[in-house]
Amino acid sequence: MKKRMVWTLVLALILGLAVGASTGCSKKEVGAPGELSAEEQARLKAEEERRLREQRLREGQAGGALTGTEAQMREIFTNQDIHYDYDRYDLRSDAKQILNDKAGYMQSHPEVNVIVEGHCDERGSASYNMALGEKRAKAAAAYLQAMGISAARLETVTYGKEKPLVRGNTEEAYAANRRAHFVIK
Amino acid sequence: MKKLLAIFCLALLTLGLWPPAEAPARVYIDITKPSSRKLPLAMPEFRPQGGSQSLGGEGNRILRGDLELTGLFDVLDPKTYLGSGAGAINPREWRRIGAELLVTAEYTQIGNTLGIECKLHDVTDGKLLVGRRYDGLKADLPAMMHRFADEIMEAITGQKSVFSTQIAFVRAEGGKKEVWLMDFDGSHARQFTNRGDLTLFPSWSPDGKLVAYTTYVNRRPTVALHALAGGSGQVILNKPGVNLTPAFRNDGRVAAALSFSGKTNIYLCDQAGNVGQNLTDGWGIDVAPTFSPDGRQMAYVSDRSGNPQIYVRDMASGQMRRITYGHKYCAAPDWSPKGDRIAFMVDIGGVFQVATIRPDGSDQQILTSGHGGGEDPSWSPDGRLIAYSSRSTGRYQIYVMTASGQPLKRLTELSGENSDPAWSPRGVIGTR
Repeated sequence: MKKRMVWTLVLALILGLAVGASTGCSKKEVGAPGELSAEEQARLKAEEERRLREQRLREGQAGGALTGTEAQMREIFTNQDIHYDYDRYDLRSDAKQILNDKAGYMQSHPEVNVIVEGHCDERGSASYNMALGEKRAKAAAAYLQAMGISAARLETVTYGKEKPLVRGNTEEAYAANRRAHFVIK
Repeated sequence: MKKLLAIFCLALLTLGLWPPAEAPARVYIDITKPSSRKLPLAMPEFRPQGGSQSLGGEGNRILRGDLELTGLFDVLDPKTYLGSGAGAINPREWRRIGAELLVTAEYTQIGNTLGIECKLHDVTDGKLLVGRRYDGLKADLPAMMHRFADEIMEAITGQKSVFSTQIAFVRAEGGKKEVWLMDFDGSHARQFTNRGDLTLFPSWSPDGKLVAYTTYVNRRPTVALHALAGGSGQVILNKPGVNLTPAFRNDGRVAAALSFSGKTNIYLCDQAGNVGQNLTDGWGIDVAPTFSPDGRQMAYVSDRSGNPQIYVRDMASGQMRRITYGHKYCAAPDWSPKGDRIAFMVDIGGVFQVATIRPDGSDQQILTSGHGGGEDPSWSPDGRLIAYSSRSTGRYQIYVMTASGQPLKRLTELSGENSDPAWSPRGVIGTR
């Protein structure tokens, strides 16, 4: 079983490298007419990375018990952020899928209360970003409520652009920092 | 503080034998014209009149730094001087090296005390413009020089400058942010708040006695007032949601962005934290208020058009109008104390720049594109200078430029990130 997980990881790593290399190639052509903007490319890359990460997590689970151990599920819940477009706080379809999983987890774990943190990338004014981070956290919390989670179990917090996950001023870093993060109280 | 007051009382004693400084007959500098030339000024070494001689060089350096910070003077190289400034002034001697103005000073330094006589001469007309004597302790030398620099500015431009002001700013280190204070020229930087979390968005009361800011309490951004004289700051707004970006109106009331209603709107509150009327009703984010000097209008940021732009609200009629167009991200407005322009930050091709615009939305000027971008502008109380933060050297530091965008000086040389300057009104010396 351990061996299988190692192989899965290696496979995922190779896949990840391939994706990195392919976006690396297309990056050289940035600026050519008809190309995707750097922002769009970064977003696609972030989505691809997320898909691979999820695949990795699912494969890891499949190798163990059917639904994974309690610890694994908790880890997925707290490690998996949802992401937003620049200067937006509406939920993307990939974010909604993740939130569906989170709602499922919270429904099966009624003892769990959650802090939803809204974060922004480092561009723009600190004050506008602080307001934007709250909107992001509230949008995520509202979705969870619509999925049947009691508002009493959800606290929203904004950190604006004050606590970036990734340092740096690349599109990749920006995309990773525009997120809602979920903390179990 | 008491000591400083005593110094200034003494400083007010002008020498009886000097004629009072008259309003200058000719216009030295038309400060309404941004591109006016610099006035050539000579300032020879200060001359000791007995006692020790250690402070003359420092006094000369402080006064020179003050005058250069205004962007109005070209202080001529002392190597070119033909005279020493001692005894009777020979105006021709100074005119020959291109000077129009001459500053001379004589000082007496005995033990811990210092007396200094400063004069500003017009060598074109051959007359004395200002003469002042200051007496106090040696440690008061900077305060004396700043005081005389203000006298020079008043004689030349008709109004005092920034030499009695402080700048509050935000210093980030180790994942925390605190409000710091420094003198207008970047000297004496010192920590003001010690709240141990995120504290930011400082804003001065009109009398310079209070600083309002946003500070996190149990994961929630709240609004606190903090006396410059001391204490630890008192939270006045702690409503559910966010409590952001306090800004004083000229009547002492505080506007802040609050989200307890579900929308993030700007409300006018008293200093006890009683929430009054909402000043905005945008469906999304309204934040970062700043008032015109007469308190009749308020500029702020709203995303009601889909992205952040600057709006102006007429306080009497409640009418709002958008004033920024053509850029996708405009934020952090600051209304000039002169009333005629609003500074803000704008995204131009992926880099934020400091710009100014008239309150009616006309005559937008981008100021920082020549020197690496800028954010979070704050006007000096005379409306001549703008402090702002920039990452042109890799980390955020605070800089100052003229209102027309001529770069003057980097103010902070501190570790960590230093940003979001807020310039105090005049007459704020600060506690050290």
